[in-house]
Amino acid sequence: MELDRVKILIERYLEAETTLDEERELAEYFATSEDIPQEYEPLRAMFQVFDDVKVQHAPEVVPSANDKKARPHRRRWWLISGATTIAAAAACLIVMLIPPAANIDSSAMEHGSRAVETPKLICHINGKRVTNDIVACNQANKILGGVADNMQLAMAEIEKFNFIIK
Amino acid sequence: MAVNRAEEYKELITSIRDTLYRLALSIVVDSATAEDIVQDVSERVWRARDAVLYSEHPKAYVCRMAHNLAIDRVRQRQRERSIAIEGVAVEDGNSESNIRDMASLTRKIISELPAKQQLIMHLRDVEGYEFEEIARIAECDEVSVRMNLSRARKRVREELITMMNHGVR
Repeated sequence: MELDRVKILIERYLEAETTLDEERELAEYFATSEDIPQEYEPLRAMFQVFDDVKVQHAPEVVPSANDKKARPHRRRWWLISGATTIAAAAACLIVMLIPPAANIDSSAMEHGSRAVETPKLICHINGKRVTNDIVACNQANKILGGVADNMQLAMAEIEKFNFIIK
Repeated sequence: MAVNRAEEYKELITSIRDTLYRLALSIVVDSATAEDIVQDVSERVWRARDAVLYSEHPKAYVCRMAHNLAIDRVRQRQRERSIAIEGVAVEDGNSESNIRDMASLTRKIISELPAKQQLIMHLRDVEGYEFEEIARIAECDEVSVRMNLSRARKRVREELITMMNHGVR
């Protein structure tokens, strides 16, 4: 390339007025010419760096869409493990809240009055959330008959448990 | 539908991942971090695939995401470095002594350009994007793109001239 042409292109390049084709022309000049004027050395270094960067490629570690399709399964595993954990915790809680039959009477004797004052029982009847102890007791009584007679005692145990874990 | 979207996602990422990598690399100047950013962008794009794939310019969207993440990483690194030296900001003395040639000095100068100039210079001089596309990615008009590009090119050249004339920066 003629030096006059190079000079014009460089001036336009620095003003960001060159087209992509003209920039490719300049890049080729700097990559192939051996007798480049000293004043253009900085530009040669710039084009050299651009050329070096152009050949760099991302390593093949980017997840493909196929890999990503597996993600819902991974998410499902999280859901399954989460649900399992919650179920296990609920099961443990239920087991802990059911008083051993032998302890009911004595414990209830100790804490029964307190339990009557501040019962905190929540249950679901036919899908409805019920916080009223009496309603809950009546319903349970209806279903379980004599078993519900021990509800107050059971509540006392719950209260005792709550007190301990506090 | 889901399969089509997965295919579109794959096509988009495949077509642009080298650009993302180079773009990130030009900012963070560390291949491992650049790889990490590409990975991160890929995952984010997948999570937001509905928004990205049906946006007007998915590539611009993804490039901006990579650029922003790279800038965040650089800032994070700077913060960590500041903390490591108990808040005293000092120049990295080794970096200058490690500059052994024009190419590494040029890379250093480019990496110190303002983020927007860096982005625009990369997209034009490395990726060969048209000004219109660069304007979309950089979220500015073409006049601003040209102005920033011109400033970036001139600044790199001037700093290199200064170095050549004085031997050191």
